[in-house]
Amino acid sequence: MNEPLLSVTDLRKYYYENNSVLDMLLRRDQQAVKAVDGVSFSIDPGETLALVGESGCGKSTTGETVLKLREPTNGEVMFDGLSVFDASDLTEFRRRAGIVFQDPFASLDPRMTVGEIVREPLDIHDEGDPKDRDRRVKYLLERVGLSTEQIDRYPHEFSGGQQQRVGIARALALQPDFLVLDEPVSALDVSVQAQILELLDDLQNEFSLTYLFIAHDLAVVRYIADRVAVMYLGEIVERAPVEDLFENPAHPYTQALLDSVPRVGAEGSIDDTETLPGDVPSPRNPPSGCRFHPRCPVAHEYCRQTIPPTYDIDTNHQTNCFRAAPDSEYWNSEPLDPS
Amino acid sequence: MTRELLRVRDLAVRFFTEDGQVNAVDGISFTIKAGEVFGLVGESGAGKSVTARALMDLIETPGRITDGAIWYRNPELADQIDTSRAINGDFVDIRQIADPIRRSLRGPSFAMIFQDPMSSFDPTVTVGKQIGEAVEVQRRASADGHRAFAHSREYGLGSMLLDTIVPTREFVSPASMDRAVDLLEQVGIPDPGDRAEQYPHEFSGGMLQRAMIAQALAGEPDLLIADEPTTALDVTIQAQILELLAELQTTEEMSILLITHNLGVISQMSDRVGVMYAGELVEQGTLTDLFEHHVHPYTAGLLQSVPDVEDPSAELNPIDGTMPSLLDTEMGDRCYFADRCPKAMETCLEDPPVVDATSGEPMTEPNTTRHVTKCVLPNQPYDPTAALSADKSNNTEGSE
Repeated sequence: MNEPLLSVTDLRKYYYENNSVLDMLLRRDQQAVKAVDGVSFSIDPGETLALVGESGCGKSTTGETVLKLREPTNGEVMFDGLSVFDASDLTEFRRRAGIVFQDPFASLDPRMTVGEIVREPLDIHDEGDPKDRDRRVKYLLERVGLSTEQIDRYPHEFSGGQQQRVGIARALALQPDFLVLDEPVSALDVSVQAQILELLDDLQNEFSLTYLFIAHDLAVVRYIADRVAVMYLGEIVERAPVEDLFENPAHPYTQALLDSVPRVGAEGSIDDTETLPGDVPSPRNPPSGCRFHPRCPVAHEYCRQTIPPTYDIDTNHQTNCFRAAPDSEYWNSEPLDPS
Repeated sequence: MTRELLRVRDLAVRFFTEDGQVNAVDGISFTIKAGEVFGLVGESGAGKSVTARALMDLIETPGRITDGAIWYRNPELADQIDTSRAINGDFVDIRQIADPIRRSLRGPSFAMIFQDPMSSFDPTVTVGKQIGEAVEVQRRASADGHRAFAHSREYGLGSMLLDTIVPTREFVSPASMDRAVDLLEQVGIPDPGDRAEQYPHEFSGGMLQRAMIAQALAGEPDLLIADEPTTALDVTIQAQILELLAELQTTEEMSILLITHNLGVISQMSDRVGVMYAGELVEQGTLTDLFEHHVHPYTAGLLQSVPDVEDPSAELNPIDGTMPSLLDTEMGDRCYFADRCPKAMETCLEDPPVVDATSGEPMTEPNTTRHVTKCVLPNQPYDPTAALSADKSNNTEGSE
């Protein structure tokens, strides 16, 4: 088996509240908001791992912390033999790992032309001579589907889809091996979304890229991903190859997520879908035991008291639900009232 | 057959901006029947929200409804109006009645919910009180005919001073507050009594969207206009809100005009669907007409752009390019989709007629409960030899 390109072990990112000097003087306890709480995964070269979940589950924080754009609280990230959090010089890592953000307009400097934006990483890393850089910028813009005549235009002159193309060209400038794609299509209209998805797919094949694809849209995930990790309240609750996850979801949250997606077509109506009750709880004060138990349709008393470990369904498919273990205490405890 | 509630005919909305006249909605006709869900789907900038706002008379300067009629079926209202050209049987053209009467229709006739619940509530007033206000306005109006406008609360300086000097002067009566709590309960908010005392920031997005639905229900409207009601919400919450809307539509016997860009939401909720592109309704019909027997290439393109959750092998087949500018000077009299259309022909450089999608018969009196499309294809099957060449299509390359 291949060595994974990126492996993340027990990644944690806490934000602290009530930790000012005044709070210390008043002896208030500092409170941790556990945005990411013990996440582990690995990505093989050339693979796309999708990180799925609802807003506030910590998927974007995970993506940014993996690239050390945010200071981690704990954990380890190994990128091709390099420990990202311990390394003193990240220049080489920055060259090989990039990110594309969700909001295409907010992630481009409005006072730089798109040519300058795409060229900036080349200048910083001192790639080639100035003529090479110009050629590379033109090549990149054409590769992502823009015309070289647009090189002197500013971001506001482009549509959302084109701005996202500029963001992708910038991320590709240094010929990276690994890209974090943080909801790259969720701000776009469906027809433009499809164009960008096709582009990302083509680029992956052409440059043998590895993607960490962060998304909340399961249809998009099924289209682009090889493997999927489902997050809920800062934790990964299920990991599986994409087909396995969609065909045999093991965790009740994954099942609910799949059931909630409105299907396109003339058949079926909202009356047929089982909806999940309640809201996502606040990560300030997560529920005890299994964090999903207050909304879970099949929760038992045992889920309220015990944190579920990770169970292997097979070598590639893991879930954090007691229902995967036939000998678990879960089956002997009382079912919880769904309300 | 159920009765028609609303007939929109040749509605046009223009915005007069510094850059020129923008044809945001360009002569659209559709009909909403009593008790049905009419879905309006399209990409951003297609004119969906402007259409909704035009029905609510919420178009702000520099925009204006420049043409068309909005026939609303309301026999009681028709009896009160004496302008004969504004009446057609039981139908009243709400564009031609006096402003105060039209304003009084907001609430008991039409109500609207918006995409972003957080910015649609006043952050300084409790949720219960804001819903109570809507109830109070309706209560006073029904006690005194169609004169709600006279009682609408003024939010000016004078009113603020008066409130300070006379502390007991409360606009929302206790009865209306009770009704507000009932409404909150009806939309599925737990502990409605306590929740009514809370401010909008104490609600989650899904809960606040429920509260906004409660507010819209205060007037028991005939038509609820839902403008992207679930776009800002997560999928599990989206499913809850859609279920609530479907349930309320049955119990309250109202029609819903559902505006969304999400084809999945449209499929689950609507009875009939209209597809908008560049300010025009390019195709409309029942759910089956649109999803299985669609005629217009844009409808087909839209459907093929959506990745399928059920079928991963389905290829994406996106439409190239983006929607054209809606500036009047740049539009011309032609099919606006021709530049992106895989089946564009020479004839597409003329404005296509609105025709029946199967027979191709032109629609003179737009009886638009049929499957109709604004395209030449029903009359003229695609002929590759007459295909529109790239240079003639005035392809604005570079602006995508």
